[in-house]
Amino acid sequence: MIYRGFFILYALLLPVDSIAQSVIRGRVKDQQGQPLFAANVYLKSAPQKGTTTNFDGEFEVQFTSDSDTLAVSYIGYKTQEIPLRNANSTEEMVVVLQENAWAMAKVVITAKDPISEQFSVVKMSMLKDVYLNPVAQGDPLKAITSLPASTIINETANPSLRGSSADRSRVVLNGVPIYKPVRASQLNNQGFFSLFNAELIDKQYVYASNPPLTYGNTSAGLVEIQTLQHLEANHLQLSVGLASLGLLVAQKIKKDIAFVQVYGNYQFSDAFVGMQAEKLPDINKFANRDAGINFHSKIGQKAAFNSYTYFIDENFNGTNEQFTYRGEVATDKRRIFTVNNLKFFTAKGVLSINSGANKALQHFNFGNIYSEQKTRQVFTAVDYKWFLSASTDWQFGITHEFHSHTFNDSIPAYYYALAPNAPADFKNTSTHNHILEIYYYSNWDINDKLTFSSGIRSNIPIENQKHYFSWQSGIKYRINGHHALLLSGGKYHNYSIPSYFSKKYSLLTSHQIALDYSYEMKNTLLKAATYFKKETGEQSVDTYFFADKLNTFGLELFAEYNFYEYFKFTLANSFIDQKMTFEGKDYPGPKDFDYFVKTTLQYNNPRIFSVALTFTGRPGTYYNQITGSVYDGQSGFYRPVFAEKLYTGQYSHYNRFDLSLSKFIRLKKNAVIAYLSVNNLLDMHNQKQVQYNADYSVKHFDYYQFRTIYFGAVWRVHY
Amino acid sequence: MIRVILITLLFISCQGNTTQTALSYQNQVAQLQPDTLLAGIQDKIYRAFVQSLLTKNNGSLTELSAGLAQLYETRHHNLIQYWRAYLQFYLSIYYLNKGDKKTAEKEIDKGLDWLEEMKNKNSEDYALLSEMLGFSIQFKPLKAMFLGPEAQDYATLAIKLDSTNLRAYYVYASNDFYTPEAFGGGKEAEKYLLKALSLPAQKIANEYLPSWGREESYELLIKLYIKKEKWELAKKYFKQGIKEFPESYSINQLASKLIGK
Repeated sequence: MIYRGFFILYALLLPVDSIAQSVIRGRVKDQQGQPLFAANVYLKSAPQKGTTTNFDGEFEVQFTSDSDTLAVSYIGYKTQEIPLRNANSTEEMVVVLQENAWAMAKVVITAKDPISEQFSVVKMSMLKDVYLNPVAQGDPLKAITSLPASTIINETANPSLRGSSADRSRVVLNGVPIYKPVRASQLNNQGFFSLFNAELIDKQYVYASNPPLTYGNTSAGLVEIQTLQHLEANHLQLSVGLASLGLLVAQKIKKDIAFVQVYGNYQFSDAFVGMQAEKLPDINKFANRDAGINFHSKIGQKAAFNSYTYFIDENFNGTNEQFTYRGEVATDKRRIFTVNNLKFFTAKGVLSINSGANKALQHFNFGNIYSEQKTRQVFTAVDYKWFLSASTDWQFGITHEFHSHTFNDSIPAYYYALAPNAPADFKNTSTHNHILEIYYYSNWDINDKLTFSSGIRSNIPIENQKHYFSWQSGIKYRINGHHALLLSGGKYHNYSIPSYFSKKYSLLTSHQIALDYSYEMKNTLLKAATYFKKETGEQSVDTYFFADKLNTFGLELFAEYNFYEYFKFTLANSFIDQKMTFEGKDYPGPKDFDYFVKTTLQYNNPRIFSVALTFTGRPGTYYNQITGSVYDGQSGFYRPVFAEKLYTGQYSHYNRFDLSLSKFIRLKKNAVIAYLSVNNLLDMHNQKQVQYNADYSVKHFDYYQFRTIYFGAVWRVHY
Repeated sequence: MIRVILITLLFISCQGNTTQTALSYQNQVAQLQPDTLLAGIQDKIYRAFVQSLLTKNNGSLTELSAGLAQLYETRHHNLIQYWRAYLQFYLSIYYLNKGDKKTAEKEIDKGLDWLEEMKNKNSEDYALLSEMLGFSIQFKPLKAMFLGPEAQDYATLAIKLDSTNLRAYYVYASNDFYTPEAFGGGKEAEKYLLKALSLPAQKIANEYLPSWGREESYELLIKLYIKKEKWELAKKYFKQGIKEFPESYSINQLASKLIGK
């Protein structure tokens, strides 16, 4: 009886209980099937009375009404709502959360960084690595010269990386190559400063070797520059220096939507040269004007546009000496280039359309050499960067470059007879080249410590071009937060840029392997690298000689130590064993150095002042010795007789100290930076080029920059 | 620096609530299941911090830190790393309060390393990274010129990733507030603080996830109005802040500056 009573009571209560409270169990995962911990699981009728998932993504929720809706949410994911009437309480519910609209923001953020970012040797920020680097003198490309991988030997800003000629490396601005990225460039492409204004730049990546195959036409290294994505604040900047005047205005057009930066500079020689004429014997006068405009705009939530256009007009007059002739040299150059980028963001990737155009007209006059060069380049690329999964990114694309060079030259009939009255032949040369390439690059984070990358790039031959295929792979191993190893290798191709001395597009090839190590602690940064490169193809060694093969083995060490709060010491050294092959014989390469030291001691206290002392030292480079001469009746000049063995002469050691001082003054809405730099502080006579008298019986030397002083101030106001 | 002292004072003022937390965290951690260690973790860190200050011994914080480290060894979850970094923030404040600036810097740098190395960071991760980076500037005056904009970049990312994250707006405002005008600072703090206060600390209550930032937003907004001598607005948000956080030392201590205004 009692049992029956209990049974009846149980039978009566059971359905009531079932209706009153049911339980639903489930599991929350992300799109990759990984359980999501701490996700919110709640009923829409009572959002604050929900639960959260455990480490296995499991949850359990009680509900009373099946007309209610279950909601599942987590940071970065789209909230999912499930009507309970559709739920089966006897089965485990599996909820897969999708990355929501925030994923788009993530794509926009990630798209800023190149896919190959982890394989760059150095990532530079403008403020830290350019403005606070005394070697840089405010120039983004000059900042690279303080790296051990930089092997520039002629005091130019044109990057030369790990012993390769500048002609093999590329500088890329917003995905578009900028050829000859230096100002005051002469026939040999030297130029003391780059064309880039640091104010416009956000980041700069340096690939000292193994350039990522997302870019083509480089067989040495790559410098990838990105302009600003957003402007911090409206400002106006006025700079006044011993040889320049500049103005920059940066203005937001619509808050966080668009901004524009406009600038212009005028460089003049009167004060700079007039004050220290004896230290600048080869400069009579220069006058340069340049102007640039950069515009950036978001187009809705899914697209962004950037346009940068730059114009420069350069004029230089000085003195030059080649062989036995010393006389006036005059150059002028007008150049305009534009770089335009359009990006479309999707939830899974970014589509980029990059285009660029460059037009230049240059004149050069020295002795009986007259050269007029017209250059046109057009670049177009379409790339898609695909975020395949949390650990894998792919990028593929197609690029086309068109180059056109026209030369109207007078060429000395005798290479050693350069005086204005010496015979010369006129020659007009027009040449052009298409480079059409397709590529694929992938990046795979195997785990937290290992990342693997690979890339392939192939040309599509046009006009009887040779087919070539570039490839690369690399692996990065992060031992812990402080140590990283990067092993990379590959085969690369590029075309040389025609010049007065070689008016053709020669296909250059390189095989490279490099191992880079870095150790980073609070006050200390250590880097070491070893690499081997095998370069083939005709490349210039100096003005008149070209090598067919160049083998380079290098060792690099770099240390940076910060101490006593305001002091920083850096030391970079490279050992480079370089052999070049010329007409089947081996000679020391143009960058064959037992040491290449760059060291800086810096005291930087914004409240007082900043001072930096920099030293650069290396052995002298090799040159061809002239042992005698023969009078040539036809030309009326002596013809040099070179030593039987080439490259046996060596210039004296190159040593140079530079000093820079700056004082920062902060006012309410203004800031003023006053600076002073003394280049070649000890006035070292560093031999640059050997020169001779008329019959080559007496030799003397041309020198790199003597001690010069430069000072100025930058005034900046936010409005 | 001012910010640090105030934060320190804030926690010293809460000693009355903390005597109950004198239990050994090691024992607690040993007994807890992984997800229960994380339950209410923000408060646990806060209490361990106060305990450490009161006893002048960082044992409570380091024991909790060890528990989280152990948990992270077995469960490589970003959320655990977030709380480990958050704890480092408080360890740094603890050492700063002791006058040991070197260790304070070391501890904050450790947390910053973890956050910077974290993959697939979400809005909360970026907000904490921004806050900690902004805090770390006092140890690196030399790098202030570039750490400030970097901290602001992270705050911007946090907002972009979640436009309803109160902490993202707070850290943006905080960085702007402490950036000198000569560098373009001090213009947007008010707008971003008002936006922060229009948002809930958490959209859905979740004891595993962060909820800080609201009280701090009130404090900073009142300070901003005091600085600008906008007394009526300062008083308005003081009243509102005190109503919401009656025990808040950081808000209460601003009262003296408003008397007679």
